[in-house]
Order: sequence, then structure tokens, then C-alpha cells
Amino acid sequence: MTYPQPRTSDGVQAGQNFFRFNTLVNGPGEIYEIDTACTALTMGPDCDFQQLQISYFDQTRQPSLLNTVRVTPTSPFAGPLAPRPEQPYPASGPNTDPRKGRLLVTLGDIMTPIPTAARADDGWRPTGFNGAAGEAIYFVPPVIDLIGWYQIPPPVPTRRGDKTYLFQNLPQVAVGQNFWTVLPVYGRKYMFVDFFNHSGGAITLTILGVNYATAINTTLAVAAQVQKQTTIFAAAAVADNAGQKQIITSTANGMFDALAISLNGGVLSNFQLRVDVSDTI
Amino acid sequence: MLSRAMPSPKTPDSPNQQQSSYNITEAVTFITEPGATPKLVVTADQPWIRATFTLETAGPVEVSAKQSWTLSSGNGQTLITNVPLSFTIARGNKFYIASSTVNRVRITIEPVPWLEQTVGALVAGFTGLARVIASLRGGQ
Repeated sequence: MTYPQPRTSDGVQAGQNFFRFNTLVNGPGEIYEIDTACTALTMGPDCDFQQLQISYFDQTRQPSLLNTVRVTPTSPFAGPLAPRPEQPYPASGPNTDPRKGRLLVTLGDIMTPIPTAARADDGWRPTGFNGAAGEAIYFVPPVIDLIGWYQIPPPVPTRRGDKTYLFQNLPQVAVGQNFWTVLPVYGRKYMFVDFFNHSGGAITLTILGVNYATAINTTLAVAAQVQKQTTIFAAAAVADNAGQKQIITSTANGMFDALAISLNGGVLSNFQLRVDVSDTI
Repeated sequence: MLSRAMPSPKTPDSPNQQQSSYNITEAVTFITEPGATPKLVVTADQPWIRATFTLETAGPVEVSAKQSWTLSSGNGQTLITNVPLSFTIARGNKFYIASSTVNRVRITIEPVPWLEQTVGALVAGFTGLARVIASLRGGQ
């Protein structure tokens, strides 16, 4: 999405019955504005997050004048919700220049920042991660996808769609080091990992489930909030011309924010790694 | 509708223009602008017209015969999405629309057929006459 973000009212003039936020998210603090009233809000098919939070002006909520509603794959919100720009929002600044009412979209899930060139150390790391030795990690950026309806939405429900990730080669890291691929799987109930090795040598496969925390606190004398990783498939070598399949379900394994898959081998190419994620078992 | 809905107050319609607009039904799509200042959308330039407003978006949009009012003050009528709202407007009256956000409104302006007007007047006249006669009979 471009910055500043496109106006949600552009679809009104274009004759559409909805607007859509569909963009990659780089950090947990991103906020998007809606300046058009909606009769309903539903999750778009490309969304990776399980919860999106909509904040709106509500004069009955004292003293914040703010109320929120969450949109999830199974619970769209039937409005209408109006941004109320005619209503100054006193809590937003000095009384002489208060901000106008808006609908604000934020993430309802915890997200780890995506590393950038300027901030290469951002984001979650597996226990024992050794970047200095050549271990590497790649985060698939999650997508936010929200549909706001100008009219009553059609009876065909919009829901978060299943996704498939395919990898056939990865950047080569130092021999003996892991290359981690982190996929967003917020609240997915079913995941299928299918790995087949054609690389000519053994590749060690590891699968972790990750639940993010809001902060890692190591200095205060209180219980630290630690990002939690769960071993789903312990490191095991997959021989050349052999494969490994792993089914992960919410009932058997739990629910995770991310799936971290490590490949460790002499040649990280000529393999097939397929990951399917779904909201239904 | 444009010539009818937003006439310049300094340039009144010529008789020919008025005559030509009697039999024209106009249909437009109006996009409201953010800001609660009411906009003039309909000016009745003939004895009777019927204006129908249909909101295609989520609103809030209000219409009123008043030139100045604030949203949710009770001085306007709220349009409901996909529910047409019609008014029969006498010559010289104006209608305004206001919204705080961008919305899409279908506006149809059609002349009230002369026969409908005539029949309406006759029915009203006969009804009144019948009441008079009934009251006279009741009084006997």
C-alpha cells in the first residue's frame, strides 16, 4: 500500500460497494484509517491475521470516548460504523486542535517486526540462533486484508482463505547452519508440511510453532513475557530422495502465531517444501 | 437535474427553459462531500415535482427542506441504505442534502403528471363538497 494510504472513499465514486485494505504489514504498530462509513466489516481472503481491531468514536464510553470491535475469520462485524469526522476527539490533543473522528484499523494479534536492511536484528529468533556463525532467518511478511462494505454484504460469506507456500530453494548458508523460514499462521487450525529432498545430500528438517509475546523483559524483577516456541518436529535428517510429511492441527498441537521451518544441509536447493494452512480441519 | 437542482439565483430560468423542463425526468448520482454543510440538490421550478433519494452507501446522509441544519439534530430526514425516500415538492421549494462523509446518492426528479394533479384537485374538491352535503343532511 502506498503512503499516505489511499482513501477508503475512492470506491464510492468508482461505483463499488466495498473498499478493501490489502497490504503487507511490516511492523506491529501500523495503523490504518477508514474515512467512510461501513454497513459491515469482514475479513478479506488474503488475510494472515486472526484478529483485526477496529476503533471508533463512542460518546458513551467515558472518559476515552473510544470503543473497539474485533473482526475475525468466524465473526464479521455487522455495523453500521461511521467515522464521524464531524465529531472532534478531545482526547487526541489540545482542545484548540482536536483530531476528527475516524475509524482506525490495527492488528488484534501480536506480531514480530519484520527485519529490514536498516534493522536487521528485528524480530523473533529461535533459541540458540547464531547469526554470527551464518545462521539466517527469513520472515514471510503477513498480509492484512479487510473489506468494508458500503452496502449490506452479499449472502456469500467472505472468509479468510486457505494458503499454500511453496519453496524449491533457499539462500545457501554456511555448512552446518540453519536457514529458518517463518510463516504467519495466526489461528490456523490445520497445517500440512510436505518436504521432499532432491538435493543430493541429507537435509535436516526442524519445525517449530511460535507464539509471540508483546515484549521480552529481562531487566525488571517480574515474570518476563517470553516469546514461546514449541517443537513440532524435532531436528531430523531427511535423506536424499526421501521425504517427510507433517500434519499439524489445533486439537493435537495447539494454535500458533507462526510456523518456523529450518533446513540445514550442504545444498539448499532442489527440494520441494510445501506448506498448506487452513482454518478448517 | 443540474439546471433544475442547482440554478444560479442570479439567472432565473427563461419561460422556454421552464416549459421544456416540465416533461423531463432527470436521474443523477450525487456524491456527497465530507463536511456537514448542506448542499442544494433540488429546486422545484414547476407546480409539483417528485424527488426520490436513494442512498447507495452506508451514510450518514440527511435531506431537508431547510437550508441550514446539523446532522442528527432532528431537522433533516436520514436516508437508509437502499431505501428510496420520496418527497412531492411544490414550486419554489428547495431540498438540501448533507453528510459528514463521502456517500453515493441516486436522485430522481420527475414532474408530477398533470392528470394526477387534476384528479387530486377534483377528488379533494368532491370530498369537501360531499362533506358539506353530508353535514347539511345531518343537520336536517
